[in-house]
Amino acid sequence: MTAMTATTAARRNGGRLGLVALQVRVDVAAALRNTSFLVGAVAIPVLLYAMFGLPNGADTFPDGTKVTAVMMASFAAYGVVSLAVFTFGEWVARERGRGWTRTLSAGPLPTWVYLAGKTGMAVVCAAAVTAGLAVTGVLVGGVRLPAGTWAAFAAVTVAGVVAFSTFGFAIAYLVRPKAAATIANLVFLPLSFCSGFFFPLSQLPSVLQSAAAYLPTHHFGQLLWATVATPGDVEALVGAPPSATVVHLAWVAGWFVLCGAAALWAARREAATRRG
Amino acid sequence: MTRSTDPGPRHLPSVLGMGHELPTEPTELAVELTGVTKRYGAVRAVDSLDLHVRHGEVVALLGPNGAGKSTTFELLLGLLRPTEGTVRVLGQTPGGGVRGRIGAMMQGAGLPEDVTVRELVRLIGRAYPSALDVDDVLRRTALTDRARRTVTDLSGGERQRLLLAAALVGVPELLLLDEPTAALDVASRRAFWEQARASVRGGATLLFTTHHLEEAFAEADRVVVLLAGRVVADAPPAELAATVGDADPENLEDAFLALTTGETR
Repeated sequence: MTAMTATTAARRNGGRLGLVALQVRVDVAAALRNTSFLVGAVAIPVLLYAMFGLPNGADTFPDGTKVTAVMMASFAAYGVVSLAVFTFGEWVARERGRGWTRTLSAGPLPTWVYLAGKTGMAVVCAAAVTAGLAVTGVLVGGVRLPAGTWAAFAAVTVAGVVAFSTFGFAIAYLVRPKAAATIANLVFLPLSFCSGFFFPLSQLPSVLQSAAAYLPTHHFGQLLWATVATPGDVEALVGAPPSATVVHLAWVAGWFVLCGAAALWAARREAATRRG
Repeated sequence: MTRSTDPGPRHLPSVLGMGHELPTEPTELAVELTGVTKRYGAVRAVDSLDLHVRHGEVVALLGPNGAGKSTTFELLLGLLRPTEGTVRVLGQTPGGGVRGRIGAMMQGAGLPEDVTVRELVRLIGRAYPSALDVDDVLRRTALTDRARRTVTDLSGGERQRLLLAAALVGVPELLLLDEPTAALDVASRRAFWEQARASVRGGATLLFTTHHLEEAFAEADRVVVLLAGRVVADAPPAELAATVGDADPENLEDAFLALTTGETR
């Protein structure tokens, strides 16, 4: 270490927006260094799409929607839930376990900025997942959609990450850090399966079809399928007529609020326990 | 030797009869703990603690393990709330906006994964109202050649220097450093104190804990000794050493043991 002069000039910082932007940049850079995270969060949805979504490339639903387009939406929904559970859930829980969130609470970096950084990073990852699925769908699956449909598909996918962010935060703060990875995996795979992301719900047992109606992730899937398929083709996919868009939105929004409240309660409980 | 009793709000407690007059203006105090008790069930981690630190002062908080030093720091950082008594930092209640005026190093502080040294220091600096140039801070903390390394790739001493860089980058008015030189080698420890002294010359107040008695006695204006959450001594280093009959720095441990265990040679 070299001697410090006490007269070094300090530069004034700007507003909170710049801090949030920097936090997002730092988190994106950290994600890019974490190969296992990138593979799990970005590459796996594209890989699963290639394995399960593309073999039936020539098939279409009754109204003419290509199966590859619908499966592209299914794996986009899978990718979003994966990001929510593993970025917000497991990653934040791990940093909580390492004491980083406690260190933060002693310093000037607000916790909401930290969480906003994670959300921003997940949005960037969701955009990468969307792009990867779209490129694969177009080049290999023969998916052809109007520009407006592509835009709607991308917008719903990215918005989904924000919508399910509180789900991950709830896992991160409700569960003991060491158990978070196990819980995340236990929650994630059954939730994706029962929501109809891997196989069309119409091909699953009726009990699972009935259960799906109560899963917010399934309702998010409905929103995504609606961007690429007609209502008739969505009905053929899930085995039941789709509800009104507002119903699906209400489920997703309600889940966002419920999980947000749970995460906030758990974070406050932790702070209160710590403060004694 | 007797335990201190609360002499009232106008005096700093001292078992050695070396109580310090407090300044008349409360704003001259950077740290004020008045009658603070922190209980965990039947255990009193901090017990009726009175500790006041003036702006620009360098105060060392000494004590054996479990004496309440880290709890005191957590109270000052707003991580803990006192069971009784009042805590004020830079004239404000701990936590909230005052965090932007404090640079802190906590024992065993957690750091994020996959973030580089430069990114972390820059991010922390950006959270303060104003900040030093990141490259400058890294140079001063001997982390320039580690700037691109991720936190997980650092040695214990490098992590400690990173925590110091994070504490200094926001040009804080108050430095709260809990065992800042733990895990540092001799050269790094000396360099650390150059940094700390420079901050104090720049107007900062410094409250630190350490188990290195010689650095406490060499660097601090005042040494406060805690035992079982209470102040058992509060005096300038020379006076404190002299009270055990020997001001020889080599016998500082005797002074410390006499205060905290009653043992004398």
